[in-house]
Amino acid sequence: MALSVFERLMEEGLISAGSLEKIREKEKPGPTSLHWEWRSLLYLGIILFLTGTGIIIYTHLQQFGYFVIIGTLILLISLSYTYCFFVKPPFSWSAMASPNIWYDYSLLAGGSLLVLLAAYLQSQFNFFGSSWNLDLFVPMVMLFFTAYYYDHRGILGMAILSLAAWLGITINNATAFGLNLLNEPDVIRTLFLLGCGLIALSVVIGQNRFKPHFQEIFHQFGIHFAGVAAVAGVINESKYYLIWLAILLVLAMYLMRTAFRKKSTYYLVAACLYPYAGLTYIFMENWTKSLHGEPRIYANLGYAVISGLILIGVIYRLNKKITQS
Amino acid sequence: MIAYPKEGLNIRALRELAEAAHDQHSITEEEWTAINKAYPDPFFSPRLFGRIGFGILTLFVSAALAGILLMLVDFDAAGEIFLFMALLSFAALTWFVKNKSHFHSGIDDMLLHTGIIYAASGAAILADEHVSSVGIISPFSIIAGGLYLVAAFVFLNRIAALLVPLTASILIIELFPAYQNGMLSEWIIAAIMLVLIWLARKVQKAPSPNYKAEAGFWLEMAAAIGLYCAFNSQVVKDLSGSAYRTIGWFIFSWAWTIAIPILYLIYGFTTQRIAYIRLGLLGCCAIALTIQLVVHPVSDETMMVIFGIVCIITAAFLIFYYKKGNSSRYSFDPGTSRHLPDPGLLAAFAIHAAHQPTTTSPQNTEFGGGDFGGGGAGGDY
Repeated sequence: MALSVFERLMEEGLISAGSLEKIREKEKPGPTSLHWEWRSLLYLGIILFLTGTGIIIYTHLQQFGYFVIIGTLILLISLSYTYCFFVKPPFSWSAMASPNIWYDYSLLAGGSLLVLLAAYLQSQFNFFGSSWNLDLFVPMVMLFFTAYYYDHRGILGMAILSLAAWLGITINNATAFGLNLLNEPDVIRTLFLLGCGLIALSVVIGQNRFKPHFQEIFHQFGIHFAGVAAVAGVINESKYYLIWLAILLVLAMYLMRTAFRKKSTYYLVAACLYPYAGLTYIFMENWTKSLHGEPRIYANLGYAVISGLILIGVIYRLNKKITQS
Repeated sequence: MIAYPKEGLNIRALRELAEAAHDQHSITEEEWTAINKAYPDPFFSPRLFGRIGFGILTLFVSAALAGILLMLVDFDAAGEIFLFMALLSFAALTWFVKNKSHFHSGIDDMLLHTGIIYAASGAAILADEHVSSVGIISPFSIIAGGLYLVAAFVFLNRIAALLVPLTASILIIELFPAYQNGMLSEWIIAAIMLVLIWLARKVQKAPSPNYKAEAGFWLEMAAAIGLYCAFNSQVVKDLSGSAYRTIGWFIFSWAWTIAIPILYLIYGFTTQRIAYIRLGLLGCCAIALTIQLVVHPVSDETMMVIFGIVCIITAAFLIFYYKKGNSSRYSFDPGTSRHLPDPGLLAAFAIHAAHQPTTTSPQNTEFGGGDFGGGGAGGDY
């Protein structure tokens, strides 16, 4: 049935005879693919195995002995990396196709275990010493190397998170959602600078031939680090909240430009929601401060209704403009 | 009755098909652009993140407005306010769909769901106030379930279809609390799920073009999960020791827990229905989880390792098996897995296009001949 539609489209001159032939070829009845199902099962298995192993190691430290654990981790990491080394395609500065299904998972497992090993060595033996956060720096460098050498975006994401952790931005401090640390000015500013650095890096990467397909990963982390930091700045640095608001607006303008350039609703929504979050906090915390009790609640709820409707209208119009541009 | 114009749905189906062909590199970028130009999307349907953004903002506005109204009446007439908010939500939804051609834009999705929640909450509060011993949960479940069922097929909403079996189950559990130890509620839930599966399959088998098929599919899947949960929940309940079970019921519950996923797998493989294969696999994970929760043969982490190894070995074996081309019915080729719109919709489009000299439709023409008669396959289209 699909074919008749494409035949009609060809008659209308919208597709060529060659394309119709390709579609005809693909429409021929064939076996049903279970690619997604078996891949998911494999992925689930690997996650369960690694998580379970991690917990067993953690809970049975004494019984196993340090060297058994370290030896096992090194063995698993070596196996993963060795396998990937031998099956990987020749190195290239552009995107490299994954040779088989095991390659990605094996690399991901190796990278995760590498971080686990570094953390274990540091916690048990203070292996990397106590200065320069070497316990975070060393795996970070290794992860960046792995990501570039083996061309793996997942590992690159882990490497960027390690970089953030090395700079002191951690979100697992047993606080509410782990985000309470963002109330420290130093952390907020570091996160913001890191975000800006990553955005700049993504621009540079996009313009040269060294893995330009990694640009998007750096950019994604960059805009969200900068956006979250700016909102945290508005909330926690009450003295400078107007400066942070101005930063949010600049970020929004940049994101808006990106949204139009890439015709992306994703960037458009980010461009609207980050400054809106900051502005909403300022309105509710600062500008309605003089009101008390019910009037303040009415003012805040009224603001939510009116601003929400306005923002819906703005996003709606901009989205139309983007799709029509 | 469907809230959206059928011609628009047909064009949408065509666009989905062309997009799939574009993704598979069967048509070129230029051809995809030309199709886009000739058949522009008749609806306002932003991409996922736009949808999420619109949804969050709509919820924000709706909740704030409800808050203002509730404060104005000192929270005294919550039921009436919720009903008013429901009416307002449905009116806004109708306006957005009819006048602004929204189709799964995030705004209409959120208005639909908040409208249903408001209506069910309002009715439940009023029922609780005015009818003795009715409680809140039963009227809430009845109204919400009914509205979700309507919403699933009128607004072609997947989430609404998924929530129908859930509301039905909540209602049954609420209505038969005294009989829980006798497992009556579980039997009724299982029976209702079977009825829902039957109904959903009937909807899916309706003559093409079948616009409701997708909602029917999601309803069937949700009911199939509900059917599994009906008696599997008994096994899990035993864990807490809150209810007494005879050995017979215990064996029955365990047999159910293990047999249903296997049956789903067998059914999926024999009929080539991937959805049931996925449900079966999900059910197999649930078996392991249930065993661990109830019997607790090993520690949680050991079970994770064991089950992880089982998953890896099974997946590895199946991948090698299918990669070698041992099966004529299934493959491990990533290129053949795709989602295509209902062929009936495409037929409708083909007929429509065949009787149309230009790509833009003149006024007063529609599928099924429209005002001019002829030119279609009759019926609705």
